[in-house]
Amino acid sequence: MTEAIKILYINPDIDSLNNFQNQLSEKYITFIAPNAADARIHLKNHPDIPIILCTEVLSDKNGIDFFEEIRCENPWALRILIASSTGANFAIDALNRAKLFRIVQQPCSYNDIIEAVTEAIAFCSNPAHLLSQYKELQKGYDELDKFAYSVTHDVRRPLLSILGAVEVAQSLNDIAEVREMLKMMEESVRSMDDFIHNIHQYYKLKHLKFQYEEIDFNEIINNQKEIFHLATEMNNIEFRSVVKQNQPFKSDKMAITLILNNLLSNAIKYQRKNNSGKLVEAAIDVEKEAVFISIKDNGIGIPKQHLPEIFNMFFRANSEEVGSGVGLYNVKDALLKLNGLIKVESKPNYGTTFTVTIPQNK
Amino acid sequence: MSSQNPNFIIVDDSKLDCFIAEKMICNAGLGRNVKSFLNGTVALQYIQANGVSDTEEKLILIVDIQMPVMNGFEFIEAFEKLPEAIQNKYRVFVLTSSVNLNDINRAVSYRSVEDILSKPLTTRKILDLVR
Repeated sequence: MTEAIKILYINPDIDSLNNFQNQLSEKYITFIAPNAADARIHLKNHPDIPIILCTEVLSDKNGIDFFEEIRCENPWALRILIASSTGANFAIDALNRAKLFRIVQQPCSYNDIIEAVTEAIAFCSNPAHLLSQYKELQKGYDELDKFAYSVTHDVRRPLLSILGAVEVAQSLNDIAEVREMLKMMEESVRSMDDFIHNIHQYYKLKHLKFQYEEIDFNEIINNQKEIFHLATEMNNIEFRSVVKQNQPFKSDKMAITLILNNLLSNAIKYQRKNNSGKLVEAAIDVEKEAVFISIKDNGIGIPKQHLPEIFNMFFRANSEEVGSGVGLYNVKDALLKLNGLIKVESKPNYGTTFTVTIPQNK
Repeated sequence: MSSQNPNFIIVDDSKLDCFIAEKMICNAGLGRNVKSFLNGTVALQYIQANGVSDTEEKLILIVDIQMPVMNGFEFIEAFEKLPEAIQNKYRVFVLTSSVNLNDINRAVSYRSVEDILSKPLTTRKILDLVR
């Protein structure tokens, strides 16, 4: 690397900070902060800092929490925790949550810190590390490309349909035909609105920090029932739900709602039109460690060859119904952030069952 | 080439777009027999089963590009694998809302595709096809 490497060091001990800066500022661009708030200011001004060291204890925050928080905005920074706690459980939790590069155990000498920094610098300049960064970038770029393509298509297409319909409607004399036309125009407007809504959710998932709070699954399911009330009534769909929650569950409400809303919306949308016993069943079981959700329908099902693709962005397996191809992608994205799992079982003409497991966020 | 009463086949996953196409063809005074398909696979089966016509009259086949399951390109590729006698019965046009040059270039590159029509379909565009 030709450019000087930037390093951020966060430690409430001012002496240690000054010492660090004196020793390293000749070779590297160093930033120091006594607390998380100051560190955030540095990261805001220099989002490309590749190496961050932080002590476990800060005046305003736990170091692991801090790392976990900045992971989204600075995914490539190598995070080194200077830990005062000990034990395997602590280390595993810290590694998992903060996705650490290294843990330096306190009490540590100045040399221990330098050694960790040196190792991180070597890793930064490693072609393999650069390659993985490049791959990440390429992935983002491809997604953006697909995104731009799809946005033009998915937004323009219903607009052009409506434009064509307006023209046709002007030549119609039969009011019944005009009404039929209006109904189809309404569908076009709805599909466009759905698409924009999904894109908004996509954006929120990518950029908003999760807020962990207690989740009342009865409340969420009842809200969903209300949202889908009209759709289930109109299409004669029975919506059954069983919620077993005897203990509090902490997670991000927006993400949980998004997952349930998308899965239920699909279950309601992809029904067999002539089936007399259309059924959607939601089962939620809150256990101590995780919540188990199953959304089952007896609808059209998904052909086996499409199952691996349903979570891909802009993929649509069905041509009869209006779908944006973003819903299940968002579900997967939300679950990825919650460390959750999703499984799908489906048989054409029998129905589809999605099972979701989300671990509790403590 | 031109014919007084051409038949039309529309392949488009949007119900509204099929309806618009049918109406536009009707309004152009050509709508004797318009058949719409929301799904390319079903349209292909129909074309195959319909076989070879006994008249000289060619059918106009209008295909949308962006469709789920089987998109317009896949449809045209499958169409070009049908027996030549069946293919010769059709004049194929691609109908699209795409502004993407790659899509448009790809569509015109197919041997069987006569031209590209941009959405929305109008009576004018329909009349130009049979002129």
